[in-house]
Order: sequence, then structure tokens, then C-alpha cells
Amino acid sequence: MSEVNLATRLHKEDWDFSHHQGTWLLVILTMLMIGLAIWVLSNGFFLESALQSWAIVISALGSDEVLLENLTMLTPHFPLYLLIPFYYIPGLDTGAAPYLVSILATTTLLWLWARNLRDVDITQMRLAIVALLIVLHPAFLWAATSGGHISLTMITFYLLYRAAQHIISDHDIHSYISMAVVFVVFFFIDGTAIYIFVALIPLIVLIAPIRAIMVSPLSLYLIVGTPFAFAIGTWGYMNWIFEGSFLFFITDSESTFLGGMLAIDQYPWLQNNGGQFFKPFLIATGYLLIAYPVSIYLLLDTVDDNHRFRATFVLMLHPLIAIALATSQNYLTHPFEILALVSAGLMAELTYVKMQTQREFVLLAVFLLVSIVGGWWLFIETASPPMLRWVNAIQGVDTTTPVAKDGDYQLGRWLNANRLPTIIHERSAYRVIAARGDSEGLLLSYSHGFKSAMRRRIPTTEQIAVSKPDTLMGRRDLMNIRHPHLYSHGLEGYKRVYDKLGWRVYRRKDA
Amino acid sequence: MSKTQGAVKGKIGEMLLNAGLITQQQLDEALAQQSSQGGRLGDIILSKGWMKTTEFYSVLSDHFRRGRIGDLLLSQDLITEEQMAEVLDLQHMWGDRIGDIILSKGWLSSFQMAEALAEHFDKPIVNLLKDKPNSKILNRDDLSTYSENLFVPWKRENGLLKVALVDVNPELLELVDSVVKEPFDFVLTAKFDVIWYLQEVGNMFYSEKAVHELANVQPEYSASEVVTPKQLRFLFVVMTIGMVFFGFWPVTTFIVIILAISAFLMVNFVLRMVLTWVGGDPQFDNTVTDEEVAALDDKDLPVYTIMLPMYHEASTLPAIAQALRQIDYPLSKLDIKLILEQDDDETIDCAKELGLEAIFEILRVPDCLPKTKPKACNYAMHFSRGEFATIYDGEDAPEVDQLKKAFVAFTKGGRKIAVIQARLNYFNGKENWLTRMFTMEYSLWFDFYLPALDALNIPIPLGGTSNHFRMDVLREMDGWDPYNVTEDCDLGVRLVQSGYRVGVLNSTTYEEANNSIPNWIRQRSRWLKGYMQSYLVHMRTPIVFYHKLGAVGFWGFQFFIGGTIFSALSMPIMAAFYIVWLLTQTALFDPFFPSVVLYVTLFNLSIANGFLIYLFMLSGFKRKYFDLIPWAITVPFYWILQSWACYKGLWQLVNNPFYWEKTHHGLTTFEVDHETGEVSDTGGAH
Repeated sequence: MSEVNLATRLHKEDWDFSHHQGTWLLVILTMLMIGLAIWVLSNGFFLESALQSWAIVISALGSDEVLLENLTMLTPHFPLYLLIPFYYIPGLDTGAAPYLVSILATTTLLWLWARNLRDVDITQMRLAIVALLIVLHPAFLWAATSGGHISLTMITFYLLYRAAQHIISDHDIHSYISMAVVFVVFFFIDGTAIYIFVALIPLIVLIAPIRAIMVSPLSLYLIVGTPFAFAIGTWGYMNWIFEGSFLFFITDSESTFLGGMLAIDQYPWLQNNGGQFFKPFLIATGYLLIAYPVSIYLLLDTVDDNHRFRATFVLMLHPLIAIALATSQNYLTHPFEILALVSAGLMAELTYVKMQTQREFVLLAVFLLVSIVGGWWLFIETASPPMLRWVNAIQGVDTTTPVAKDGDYQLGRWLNANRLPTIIHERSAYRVIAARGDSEGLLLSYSHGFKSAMRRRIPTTEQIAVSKPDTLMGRRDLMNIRHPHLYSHGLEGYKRVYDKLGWRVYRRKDA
Repeated sequence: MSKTQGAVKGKIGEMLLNAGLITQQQLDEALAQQSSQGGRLGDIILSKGWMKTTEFYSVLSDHFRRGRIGDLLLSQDLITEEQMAEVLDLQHMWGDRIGDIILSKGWLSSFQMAEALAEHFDKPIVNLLKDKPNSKILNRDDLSTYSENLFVPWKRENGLLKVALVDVNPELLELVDSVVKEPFDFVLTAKFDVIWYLQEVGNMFYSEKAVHELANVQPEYSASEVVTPKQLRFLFVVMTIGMVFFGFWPVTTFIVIILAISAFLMVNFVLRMVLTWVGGDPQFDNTVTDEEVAALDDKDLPVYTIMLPMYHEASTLPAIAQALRQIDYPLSKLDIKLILEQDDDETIDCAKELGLEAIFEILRVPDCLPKTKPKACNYAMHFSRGEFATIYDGEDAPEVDQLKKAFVAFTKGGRKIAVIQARLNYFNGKENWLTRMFTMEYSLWFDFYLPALDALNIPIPLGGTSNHFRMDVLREMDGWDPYNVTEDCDLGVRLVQSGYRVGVLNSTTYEEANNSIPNWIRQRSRWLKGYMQSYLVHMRTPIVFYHKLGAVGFWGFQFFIGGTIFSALSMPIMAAFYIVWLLTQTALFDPFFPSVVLYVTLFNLSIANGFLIYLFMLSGFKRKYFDLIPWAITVPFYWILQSWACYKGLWQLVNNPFYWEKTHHGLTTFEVDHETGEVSDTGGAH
């Protein structure tokens, strides 16, 4: 008996990432992702939102007074907070931090997953195979190396799905608290949280015990949803405090909480399906079947196990409803923004799959492999422009915009070389700031200097940078709004010192 | 008669001789004395001190005993055949003595039982109220031993001390022997004769002990001194420095104060979140399982004392008596003390009229200050015979298996577990808004916080009732502090400092939630005043306190006990700032709220308060009080009441620190049927 126990114990130790061999596996997978990230970045890939996030962070941290509100209320704050430590690490001023955070987040997800896999008694080799099959899925690799915050969203979705599994199997208070807290965190990571939350509402009946639903459905929703409601309320309140309006984050045209709502024409997915529910639902179902046929296998595999079947069914249905909802509200710019989360849900589901039998493991591995193939095909076929650039970058195609043609980059480098106090509106110039590497000496819209300059007829600041007013960014540039002829005619007492690729800089004559 | 006696005499001598307890020479001497001076041979032999009384009766008990006690009672028609059969069944299950079982059933009075025992042992019966003991032979220092073990030295007859006993067993005789330290024989008396007599002669002694024992023996733990000179000096220094800073740097000082308050509240919130998470672990709902309770053998259960301190609560007495009869514990092993104040004629009369079984003992606590529950319990401690003890309030309805669960928990926990707190909750939670709030608060406190404190080794502030003690440890701690109006909270902290553990139990006692705001304020102001007393007492020597509790225990105490007081006191101040700003949008406060302070206060206002409301919801959810959950949103109004009560408590701490704000019970229209456990609203819910 004791030998059996010992054998089981040794066997269990064998698979864990905390075991030194497991640690090596985690390191290898992390290195793989870092290598891929370096490869795509070296081939010119960059994600606009990653650049924007980094610019927001360096703008806020480089200002005279470091204030929370300078991170803007228009984008969830949590991913920005994670970038803050990297601002102080020398050598990361090139904007690599968002990509590093993405990789670290996916590493964390793998580590969490391995910890939760303790209940599944599999060997080191099988763990390595399954982990590799999970990582090689394009959704996972995209999340890990694209520099966006999908990797963080995947962690929250993983925890959310774990909580749902626990509610189904244990119905303990911890799982309800987990679910509620995860939703709160989710809201501060990604605007899709609201759709993920609403999509789960009808599925609560599949998750919670039927007797609890019969006795008091309202209480279930209150327990799961109240913190989320408080999170939204808190965000609204902060918007009121700092921006003067509770609804600022969903009324300002530059808000990421609006998704693709105000730029439908830029997104084929919204052009074709925006404002509809059932059509995107059906299309997303097809996408799911192509990119994640393994979920069908899991559904069939669990048909005899009520608890697990319910969990797998929720895993399948939940993202589809969320995609349909987010599309119906013209939020979702591409289905992979939510569909990629299935990878995280799948990882959570695997913590319940008994992979120790040869048959089960082989079948699972085959379906995972098919999922990778289907996933890549679908990813490439439906790719949005940034996704396509990422795929091209992987294939070694240089997607770099020639430096000479990049106006933002050129201005950023010029401002770096000419470090005089300069008025610049950061919302139209985030790429400029990112290219400059810091915001020291820049008078951004939330600074006293900028506000003071806006109140004066003629500003007294040494330099003013202004973008061409007939571009989208130029129209939003506050300097153009305040001084409509600034770009073309300059200002009294100022001389033009820079004029290149849609940007002009005016310097005070006596500066 | 004399013929019989002569035959007996001869046999006694032979039996003692055969047992080697006396020599032939001693027997001859005793016989010679008997023939010259008269008297009983046994008395003569005992008075000579040749052997201990225990040794004497170990040889001769069968000799004196007349048949079996059951047969005796049957022959005298004191009990019926059916009752006897039931008693024998119960004896088989409980492993207790027939006399105790009959008394617990109330079939005989204690005096009748004493008469029967006297006849059984062929000993005289004495009525101590008529034939009072010679008070000169009582040893004042032994009064507690007398009352705890129900015996009292009665008289000296023919040079031999006669001790009045309620029961006869070798352990008791051995104890009496060690206490009186001289040869003795015994007579029998009724239990209540001993109790009433000792109360009559020992009132001063017991009262003195109840009031001053802790202050005399461990003055460092007594709240009789509210603030020590050292603490006053410290307060003076802090306030002086504060004033100097205010004078020179008013804005900065104000910012630091606001930041300190906000940071404290933030950590306090984080601690409560951690406690909720830790306490929400399902393992705490099964610290003692039903299987463990079922596996208990009633024969192994010890005597359990139940203390019922009551004051003007005649109306609740029948219900609690019924609730205690329903408890799943051998009745004969229950030692229930109705602790009533001497001037509370109404409750005393009610108790008498109820004609309660002999397991219920009425103790009248002498009228002296401070008139507090801990003093009453300290008083009762001297009459308690249980190995374990618990306290219930008059309106309590404990779950029937609570005592057994507590016993299992003590057994599992080992000697270091000194006290176990059962969960408290309310049966009238749905009565009105206040009871809803109170119920959720209690659920959070007892179902989440206390188990977590136990798990994290943070001192547990015991609740007022349903705390189960090891009696020897309780005595070692000198009982409760009668000057502390939350003596239970204080005792929990003292126990941890003495190296004991305070555990929690997954059994609930249902109480009556306060349904009236003035009454609630009275109760809550007392609790918070008591927390302040406890905080001041234990923070007299903070470094020593830190070393005894360790970092987690120390800081846990600061934030859990201190945090409860501090958050209640600071909430109105912070809320006032906020409301004034909200209504006027004034920029007056801007200098005092720089960005960091603003963020922390924003966090507290929105996230922390939001989650604290959520914790109330969780408490209702865990208890399956689904109807209460939506009401949790109104909990900020409850916090306002809490602050009100806290300021009242602070005022009283300064002006009337030992005043016990009495909570009036019996105001609810809800009733619990103690047989079925069902709750009904007899007066229409609000």
C-alpha cells in the first residue's frame, strides 16, 4: 500500500511545473514565446494599441506631477499599471514593454494551469506535449506575442472558467467570490468584460445548482454581479471626478470602451455583421468548430458526466454569445478578440480531463493538433490588418514602414534631439511620444502649462507641435481646435522650425 | 435495634481487621471505648485517625448500603416500575448513576433523593437550613471547593467531624479528606441545602472573588483602571506633538492625518477581505462532523455546566429551559446555573414557579457593584461542577448537538484549546430592517471572520454567549473581568496571551436580534465601549503584547479590534468631508487631498465600501438567507448607527466606564419552537 502511495506521489511530482523538469519546460515555452516576439518585432510588427498604451504610460510618468487621471479614463487601467514598472527599467524605452508583459502574462497563465493540473495524473512527457499543443495554437501565440492585453484577458477568463467549474462541482462560497472578483478585475483589463458578463447571465442556470436557482435566482445574480456593478460604478464615478461626466468613458469618441463602434467602416467584421446577433452567433459557431474542434471532442467525452458536460457546454456557448452580443453592439472588431479566450477555457477544462489513459490522451492530442491546423487556417483567412502583419512577420516578411515615411517617428526623434518645452496634444501624438521615448519637457493636455497655453491668445511656450488639420488625428488635435490656422500660418512671435510628413513645429523667436 | 447494632459492630471490626486497616489491639481499644462511652464503633475508629474515611468506606460501603437504590425507591413508591425501566435504559446509555438520572428527570426533589440516599447508606439526613452547620469549622479559603463539590463541614460530634454530603463516592470522600485534613464521617443532605447555605454564609467571599479576583491576582489585565498613567502620558505627548505640528505645518499635518486614517481603513478593508476568503473555506463548516458526533459514547461525556445569567427576563425563562431540555446531551450530566440577581424577584419567582428539575440550580448573585454579567458568571463559577462550561442568554436557542460537538472539538484540539466559540445567529432576521442588518453582520462575523481568525492565529474576540470553556483553564484565568463590559472579547485575548488557543465550532445558537434602534444603540455602545476597554487593557504594554502574540496576532488585533473601533469613529468624519464637498463642490478641501490621499480615499469610498457591502451579501448567501441579500445594499445606514453607538460608547468610557447598558430581550414577535426548531411570527412581521 505504501509503495503504491509513494509511486503515486513520485508520479505526481513528475509532472508539476514546480518540479525542476517542469520548470525547464515552462522556461523553454517562455523562451519560445520570447523568441517569436523578437522575431516578429524584428520584422517590423507592432500593435497600435500596444504602442498607444506605452505612450500613455510614458506620458503620464514623465509629466511634472504623476497623476492617475493622466492615464486617461478612456482605456482600462490595469494593463497600464503593469507597464509602469518597465518605465523605470533602462533599455525598455523602445516600447518593448507591452510585449514583455504579454509574454509574462501567458507564462503566468501556463504556471497557473500547471498548478491546477495537479488533480490530473499525467507524465512529464504528456504534459509537455499538451502544453506545446496549447501554445502552438495561433490564438495563444497571438495573445502571447502581439503586445495587446488579450493575454491578461486570457488569465481572467481562465480564472473565470475555473470558478464556474467549481460552482458546478462544489457550489462553495469561494467559487462565487472568485467569479465576482474576476469580473471586477476583468472590467479593469478589457472592455469586452461587459459582454462576457452579460453573456454569462443566461448560463448561470447551467452553472449554479438547480435548487439554488429555484429558491432565489436573484440572489445568485446579486452575488455574481454586484462587485461587477460596483466596478462599473466606480469607473463612472472616477470619470465624474476627473473628467466631469459619469459617462465620459463611453461618450468620448476616443474611448477604447467603445470598441469599433465609431469606426465600423474600418472593420470588415462589423461591416458585415455589426448590429446583428444571430448571424455573428452562427458565424462564430463555425469559427469555433474550425479553430477549436477539440471543444466538440470534450463535449462528447463528458456526455456521461453531468458536471463536466455542463462546464464544457458553457465553455462552448459562452464565448459565442459574447461574440454575438459584442457584435450586435458594434463593439467587436474581430471575433478572435473573444474567440481566443477559448484557449484559456480549454486549459481550464483540461484540468478535469483524465489524460492518463493512452486512448484519452491520444484522442485529445489529435483533436488539439487539428485545432491548431484549423486555427491557423482560420486566423490567416479572417485576419485583420494587424493580425495579417503579425502572420507576415512570422513568415519573415519585413512589415516595417520605412523610417523615412513615418512622420510620427521622424517628429519623435526630432523632439528627442530638440528637447525644449513643447506643447503637443498626446492623443494625436502618442506615436510621436513613443518614438521620442519619454515625455519629459512635453506639455501634454493635462498639464498646467498646456491648459495655461490654451487660455492665452498667444502661448508663451518655447515650442508648439501641431499635426496637419485635415487628417483624422489633426482634426482631434486640441491645438488645431484652439488655433485653426496654426498649422498653415503659425503664430505671432513663433517661427517654423520643423515641417515634415504632416507635422510642423513652431518655436518662439526668442527661444 | 440494639441487637442488630451489636451484630453489626462485631462485623465492622472483623472486616477492618481482615482488611489490615486496624490491628487487634486498636479494635480492642475501640470496643473498650464504645462499651465505656457509647457511640458507634465506626465513629470511634474514624475519630482515632487510624485510617482515612475513604479506606474505611472502601471496605464497609457494602456493609452499610441497604440493597439497591432503585429497589429502595420502588419499595417506597417514589418512582414507578415504568420510570425505573426508563432509568435503567438511560443508565445503560449514559453511564450515569441512577440518582442523577432520576433528579434530571424531575421525578424526585433533591431532598427526597437525599432522604433515599441517607436510608440507603444508613446515614442521618440533615436539613442545613434548619440544622445549620457550625460556621466556625468552615474554612473560608475552602468555600469554593465546598460549593464546586457540594459538601460542607457540618458539625463535630464526639470529636469526629461530620461532613454533609450530597452524594457519596470514593473520589468525593478522598477530596473531602484532603480538604478537611482530619478524621471525618459524613451525613447526607440535599443539593440545594448546600448551595443555599453556602450562598448565605459565603456571599461576601464569593462576591469579593467575583469582583476583585482578577484585579488582585492579575491587575495588568483588569479594566478597573481605564487608562494607566503611562497611557495618559503617551496620549499627552502625542497630542502635544500633534498640536505643535498643527501650529507650524497645519496643511501638511492635516494631510498626514487624513492619509493615516485612509490607509488604516484600507488595510482594515483588505484584512476583512482576507478573513472572508479564509473563513469561507468549506472545511470550517465541518470542523466537527455529524459522524463524529454520532460516534460519541454518552458514557464518555463529562459533566457540562451551562451558565444562564439573566436579569429581568422572566418571560424568556420557560423557553430557554425547554431549549436546554431538548439538548442532545445526557441530562444527568448537565449542571445548569440560573444566575439571577438578588433584586430580580420577578425572574426568581418565575424560576420557582416553573418547578424546574434538579439539574437547574438557581444562584442569587448579591447586589453589589459593578452589576455586570461577568461578575455574575464569576460568582457562578464557584458553584460549577462541569469539566466544561458554556454560557447562554435567556433568549438563546442552541442547536441540539452543540455540547457534543464542543466536546468533540475539545478532544480533537487537545489541551491547548481553552475555549471554543460556537456560531451565533438570529431567528428573527426577517423581522425588520435592523434585524436584517444585524443578522447579516452576525453571519459575516461568526461564519467568516472568526473561523479565519482562528486559522490565522489572531486573537478571537469571543461572542457573548455559546462560548465553551475548559473549566480548569477558566479558573486558572481567574474568570472574566467584571469591569470589562465585553468580558468575552477580553478573555479571548487573554487566553491567547497565556498560550491557549481559541477555536470555533460549526454549531449555531440562534438568538433574538435587536429589533429596536434605541435598544440596539444601547447594546452596541456597550460592545464598542468594551472593545475600547479591551484595547486599552492589552495595549498597556504593547511590546510585551507583541512578543506574546507574534506579528500576525498583534497586527490582527490592531486591525480587527482596533479597526472596528477606529472605522466606526472615523467614518462620520470622512463622510462629513465627502458630503460637504459633494453638496457644495467647494475647493476648500483641495489642499488637504493631494493626489495620493485622493486616490486612497477614492478607493475606500468606492471599491472598499462596495466590497464591504458585498461581504454582507455573501454572509446572507452562505446562510441561505436569500431574502436578506438585496437589503445588504442599505448597510451604509447601518454603519451610521454603528458610529453613533461608538461615540456613545466613547462618551461612556470617559464618564461611566463600568456601566452595563442592559439590552432588553423579548421584544420580538418571532418565536422558536424548541422541539421542532421552527420559527414563527406571532405578531406580524414588518
